[in-house]
Amino acid sequence: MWYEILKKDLKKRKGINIILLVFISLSAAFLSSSASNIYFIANGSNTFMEYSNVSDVMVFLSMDKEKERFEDWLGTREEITEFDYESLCEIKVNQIHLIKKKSSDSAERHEFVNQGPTNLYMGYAGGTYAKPLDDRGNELVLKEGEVAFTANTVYDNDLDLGDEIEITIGDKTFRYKIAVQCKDIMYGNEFSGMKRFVFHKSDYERMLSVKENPNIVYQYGFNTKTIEDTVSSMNKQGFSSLMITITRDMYKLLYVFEMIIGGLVMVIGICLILISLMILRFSIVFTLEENEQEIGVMKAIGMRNFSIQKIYIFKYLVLVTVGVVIGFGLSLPVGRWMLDSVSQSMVLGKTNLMFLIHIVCCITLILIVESMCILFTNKLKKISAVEAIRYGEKGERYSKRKGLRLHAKKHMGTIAFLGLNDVLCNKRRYIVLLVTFCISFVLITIPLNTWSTMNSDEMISKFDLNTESAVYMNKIEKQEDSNYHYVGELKEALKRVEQELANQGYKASLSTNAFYFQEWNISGQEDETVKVLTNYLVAAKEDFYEYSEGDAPILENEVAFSKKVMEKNNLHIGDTVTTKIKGEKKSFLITGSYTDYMQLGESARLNREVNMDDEIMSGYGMVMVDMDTDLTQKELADKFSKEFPAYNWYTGSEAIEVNIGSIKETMKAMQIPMTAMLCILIMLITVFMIKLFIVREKGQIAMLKSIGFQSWHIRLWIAMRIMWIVLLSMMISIPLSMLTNHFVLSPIFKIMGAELKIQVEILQAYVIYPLILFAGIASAIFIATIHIRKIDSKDMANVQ
Amino acid sequence: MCVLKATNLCKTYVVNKRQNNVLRNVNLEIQEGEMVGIMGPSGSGKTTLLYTISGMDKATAGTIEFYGKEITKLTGNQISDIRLKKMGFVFQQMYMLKNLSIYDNIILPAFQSASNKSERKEINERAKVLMAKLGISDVAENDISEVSGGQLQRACIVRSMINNPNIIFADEPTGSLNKQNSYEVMKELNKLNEEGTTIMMVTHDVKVASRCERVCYIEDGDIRDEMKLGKYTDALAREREQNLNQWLMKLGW
Repeated sequence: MWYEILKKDLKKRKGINIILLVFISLSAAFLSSSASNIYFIANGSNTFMEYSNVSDVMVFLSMDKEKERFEDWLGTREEITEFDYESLCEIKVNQIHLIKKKSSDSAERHEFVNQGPTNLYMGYAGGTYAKPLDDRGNELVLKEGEVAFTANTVYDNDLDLGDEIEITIGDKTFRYKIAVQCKDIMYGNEFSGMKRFVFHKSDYERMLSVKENPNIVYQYGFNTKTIEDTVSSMNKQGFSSLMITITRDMYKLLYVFEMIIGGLVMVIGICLILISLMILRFSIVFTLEENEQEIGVMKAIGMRNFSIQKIYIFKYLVLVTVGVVIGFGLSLPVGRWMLDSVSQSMVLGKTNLMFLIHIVCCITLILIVESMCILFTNKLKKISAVEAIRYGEKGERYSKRKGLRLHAKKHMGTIAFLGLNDVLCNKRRYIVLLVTFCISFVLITIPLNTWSTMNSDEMISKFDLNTESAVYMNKIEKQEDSNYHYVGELKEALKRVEQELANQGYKASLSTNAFYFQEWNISGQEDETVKVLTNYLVAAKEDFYEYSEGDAPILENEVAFSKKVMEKNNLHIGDTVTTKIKGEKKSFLITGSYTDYMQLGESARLNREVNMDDEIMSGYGMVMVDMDTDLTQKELADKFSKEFPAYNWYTGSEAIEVNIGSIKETMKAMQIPMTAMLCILIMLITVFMIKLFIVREKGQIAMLKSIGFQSWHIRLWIAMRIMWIVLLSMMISIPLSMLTNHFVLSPIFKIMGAELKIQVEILQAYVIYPLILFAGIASAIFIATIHIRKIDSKDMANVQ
Repeated sequence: MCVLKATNLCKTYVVNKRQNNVLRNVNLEIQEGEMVGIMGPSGSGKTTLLYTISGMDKATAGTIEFYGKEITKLTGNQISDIRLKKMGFVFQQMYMLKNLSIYDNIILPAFQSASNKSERKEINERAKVLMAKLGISDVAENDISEVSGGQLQRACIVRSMINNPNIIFADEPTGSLNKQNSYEVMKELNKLNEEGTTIMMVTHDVKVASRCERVCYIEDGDIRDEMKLGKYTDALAREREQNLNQWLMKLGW
């Protein structure tokens, strides 16, 4: 009997059942593949660390003058069980060329593409810590003449194994064959900000021997019993050339970003489950309403509630199982594809548990949906036999009639009235549509608003750049120059570039931020210091920084700290802090505080009067070019790129991109697939709801046709219901989107270091993209209501 | 004047590759102001004739003329327009929109056909008069589930009248009503006919059919015979019923 009922039902509600099946299949596929993705990456980072022999702490010394003192200090610490180092040689983009093979006997020479503000290093295979691994996760072994690249470098430059790299050092050129795509735990991840080309040790030494003072960085690794204490003690030693400190936990953080895609897919999967459950509820409620008379008859002849309920539970069990099986089938290739993209850059360990994880997720989904099915079909218990036979009507009413009065509407068209009246009479029925539309309209604004905010002047100023500058540039060292360590070298370089510009007829003044990792003593206690990235404006005519409280530090003994540093260290404007400059302790008065994105919002700003000539810089920021021009930043950046190809020229928004990596472009790239996905989602929901309405109201439609309503009137009637909901959801989603900006986007930007006014592109966020979704809804209405043409007077038998 | 004329009307349904000829060359004329009853055994094609002749269903062959205009050649939308403005329908089941009150259900087809908004006032007036005439003014604001079957059927009759149709088609209008309600509904239909409205009605009930001016007997998809009873009067009701009964018995009813 069950089989017959099921067969009849599946045939009768083909469209509705197919949509439910699609949602359940997608939910199962997305949930399973994202769960396995997150599981393997979370566990994989441990495996990767183990295979790469990651040390508890890794530090980078930028100069060898402190090497001996550092090693002495390492030797004195009892908790440090072992340590070792290897050297890396910094290399510039213009020293590298690629020779890509076109065919067996021809090749093309290309410039090297380096995405983002990444430092490039040459290293060698065979180090002790953070070892590069081959594609199978084994320790990398290279022959002389070979080089290994990480996946992101291969991808950015569209390389193949067998292509060659040409490195120019001084007047000598070296050529190596790309032999392996390696997995490098530290340098293979774009968030580390460093890339390494791995050579055979003898090749590496040969290249180093060419130049008298190669730009060497020492990578020290050491294992310790107490990581925090050792790092704290190390910071107190005042090693001025200590650039970066990476502890074991940070590696995991580097690969957390790899889980973002998995996380996003999981969120989509959970959203789809919620939507599936809403659809399921509506499907069940409609089916029960439609079958009320049959239920009444079954009850009247003495069938128990559960016996009737079983029929529906069985139907949805079959539907969910089929959906989950399809979803499981889809989840395996999707899961493998997601892991494949990650496994290019990290060692994931054994992934044979994938099958099991997917099965567990699918079974969980079946259990969730079936429990909900039991819950929703409990409504059936409330239907009495008489009530059911009367189609749920008791013939009693104690409250005011629902809906509107047609005769009272003087100006509204009949069809628009019918649509609105239906919505008002059955508000709960339309909530699912309202919620989905609102979510879609709000979701679509998130990447748009994020992108607009990231492009705003406020964002540029939060990276301590002057928004008024004509154009920006970075890396002004000449090919033969080492990295600048002192502000004097930087000032000279700025003057040199100014001169180069002047030679071509451009009168410009250049300025930049020099960065120091300055140790500030905040409590007056000798050993309690905090290392804070300290900005020092070089060659700027005026201080363009903005302050949220207090004033800019102007005098030689004044300083400003970011709000985060002030709060973290309980500092206030007017407090005095000390730091060592030229080896002498100097006191500074805090005059102001601000928020910015430098070092995740933890920085200090020195006045321009203090003499920093003898302090070692840790680096410098974007160079701001100020000049009188009618050209836009884009036009000027393009013009200078042609006239001064030795330098990289950027607009303000491109300068941000250099600082924050590809997130901004990712946001922009997400917009179209996200719009498409949301469009498909709302189209499916709209088709589903309309199909349900048509099944339920077939008799009423037939009656309207019989009394002279045309098919298009009825299609318009159904369309009007959806349109009222679209209109309402658009109205609701504007304040909702503002709330999302405030409670979702603002905190995200705050995590990065500073509060920011979320920028809204009104035309795009509230007109263009909602209109795209609206077009999707309109097409769904058109498709779903085509069937109305086939309903005729004979279908009046279904009227209730 | 001839309101409706069916010539050699055929309707064939195909069920499981089997042809079922429900109407076979039916010829029927209905004059203005006439009240015609269609009787016949179950499955004889009564309802199909009503649906086909009113343009709700498509004829397989033959022609239907409405005031001399051949509606079988019109498009679906044109026929719908005629049904909306010039025809009224009363069905056995009281089909109405669930989310509208009785009053709004009544005025719905008129509001839909109104060419301008100013007509709405006139429609409201007409609806009130018709409802008062059929005694359902006090249930105007009720939901359709809050009135009796008789009241609902009278509301359906008012709805069928709201556009001042040239003809009303009634399919078993008393089929789901008790004796008292049937009497009231038929009384109203007779009143409408007296006022000049043409009515074509399908029924099983001899008592109901005896109120018609002319009764056609349909069997196996063809009109086998017809009986002229003349205009209805209460005084001759019993005699009409007896005559009709005898005639039907002769035909094998």
